[in-house]
Amino acid sequence: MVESPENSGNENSSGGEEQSSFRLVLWPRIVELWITGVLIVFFVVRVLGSQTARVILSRFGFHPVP
Amino acid sequence: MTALAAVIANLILLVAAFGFGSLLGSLIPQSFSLLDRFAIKLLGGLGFLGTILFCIGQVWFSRFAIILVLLLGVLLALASSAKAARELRAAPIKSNLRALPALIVTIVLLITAVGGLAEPVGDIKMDEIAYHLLGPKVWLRNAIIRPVVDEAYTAFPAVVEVQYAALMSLGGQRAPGFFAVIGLFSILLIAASLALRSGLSSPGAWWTAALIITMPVLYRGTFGGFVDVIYSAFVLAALRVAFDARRPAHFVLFGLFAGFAMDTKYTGLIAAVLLVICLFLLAAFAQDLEKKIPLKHLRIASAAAIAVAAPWYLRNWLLLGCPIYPPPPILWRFFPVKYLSPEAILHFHASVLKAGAGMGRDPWSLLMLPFHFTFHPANFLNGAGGIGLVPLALGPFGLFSRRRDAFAPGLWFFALLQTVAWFFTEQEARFLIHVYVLAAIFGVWGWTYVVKTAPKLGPALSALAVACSILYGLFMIGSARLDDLHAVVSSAFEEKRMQQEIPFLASFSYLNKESSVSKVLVLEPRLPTYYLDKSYLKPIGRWGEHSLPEANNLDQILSELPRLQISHIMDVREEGGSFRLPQHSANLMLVFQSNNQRVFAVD
Repeated sequence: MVESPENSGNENSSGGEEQSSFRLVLWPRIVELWITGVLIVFFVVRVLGSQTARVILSRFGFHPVP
Repeated sequence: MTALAAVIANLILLVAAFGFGSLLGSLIPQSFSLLDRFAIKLLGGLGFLGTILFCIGQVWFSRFAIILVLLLGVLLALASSAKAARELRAAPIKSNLRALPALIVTIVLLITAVGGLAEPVGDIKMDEIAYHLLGPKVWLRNAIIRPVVDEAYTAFPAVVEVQYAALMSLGGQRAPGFFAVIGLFSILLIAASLALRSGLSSPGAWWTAALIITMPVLYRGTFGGFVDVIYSAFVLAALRVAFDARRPAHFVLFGLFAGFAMDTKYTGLIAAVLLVICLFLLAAFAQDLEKKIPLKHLRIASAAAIAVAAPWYLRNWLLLGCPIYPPPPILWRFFPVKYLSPEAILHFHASVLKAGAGMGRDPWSLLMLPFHFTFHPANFLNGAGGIGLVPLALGPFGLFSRRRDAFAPGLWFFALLQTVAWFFTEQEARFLIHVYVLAAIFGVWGWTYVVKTAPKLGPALSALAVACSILYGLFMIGSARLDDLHAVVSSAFEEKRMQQEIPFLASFSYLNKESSVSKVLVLEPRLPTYYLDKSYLKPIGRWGEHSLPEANNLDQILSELPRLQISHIMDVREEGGSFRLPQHSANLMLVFQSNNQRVFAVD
């Protein structure tokens, strides 16, 4: 795995309780959601939507929308 | 020639490039590490070697001349080897190798090395056949470097193509294909140098290398004669030097790399201007006094860039009428050019605009570019396979995490300027390779940020994004090179592929073997004359180039065959078309015919 850079994640955390809650709870979920979204769209568009996948799926009786 | 000759020719060229690169030692900033110096010397050497070969080739481009230049480079390499050995001994010995990314890099380099030994095939739609290899072959045959007037693209800056010529001369037709290994190696080195300078650790640099080498679009720019990877490596080297330049000598080095980019592709003109603008703006807004760059230094850099690029553009101006040939719409009214009519120039630019339309030029398309590149890359010319998931999935977090860093804003600012310029000029996927490299660096930064910021699912999700990018890229690269790999290991398959993919092979074989053939008249504008080993005359080229004043008048050309020293005529019939000459003509004797192809001997 990639080693962490020395100075990342050292953001100033003295921004108040609301900001702290955003940073600790909501922001990590947003980050995860973004990556998950990109992965899902990639899988649907580039993998399932590819010609190879269409050929394989059609053998099992699935016919994705052209 | 055998595959071994191709490999040896490339090794000689590599050593010679290092030799010429060693001349740059005194221009490199002291703060540069051993890796930085290695990358700069290799790339600088390739730029110098190409420029020297080009300048000498204007008057003398025989095999002997090429060997002399390469020998000089090898001698310089030997002379500097003692110093290099001392530097290596002085460097701290620690293994920075990371097994998994190193394995990925090795696999792709091996595919490239083996696949690069395949004999070039394809029709004139392949740029490799149309001009990247045609120019070098004709230059060697004529022992002088001149634009091939029936193929306007051979007037492009050609710092890589002149090295293809040197490789062909020493190692045969397969040797330029193997050069892709040198191209990939160069861009990996400079990418690692930038990644480390941006603050990434050694494993981070390795993962950057693994991500960029498995980007199908980047890989597309390295084989099949394409010069985009070397071009992008020059731009990245200029960027690497620019942001650490303090003394005038450093700015000379920056200017040299900007000049080498201009020597490789016309798009280098845009990149060089953007680099200077970027540096000027960053310096103007820098709060640190040390980073304020005197205007004098930017003038030094510009002078170095112009000096190193001048031979190519002056040659075009003197021989063809315009420094940029075919001339862009802004220039063609001021520079009347030879061999191309205004209609042909307009047709050429209409084709370029159509091919480079991408997914539109409106502001919405610009905003959606990262998504289009990730999910619909094939909509851009040569974009099939894309750049993987990492730039979109993790890159934004890398940008965010490095927003207060001193080096990163310069990188992304240049990437932004370059992307906007590309968007409004020609949206060909290969032309933006240096930006993909920067995107990969920010992607790896994003990975480190996500692992820390979202420790619950972040590590798994980001690892999945990296794995998907690399595996998909490997699949696409493997598929693209499958036939090349097969051709190298099976001579029967190679023969079959040549029969299938080289148009009118039978006529080319006849003309190449027949000793009475001295000069061939080629009547079909889209005939790939790369496969012809003999001198030829093509009155009309594929872009409407007129290499003879009477090009449109076949009867007049036929009446002047003795004056033109034509010994044979190759007449072919494209699908649905007709022959240009009747089967029985006065003073012409049909000596060979096959499917849709005829060869006449001139009485």
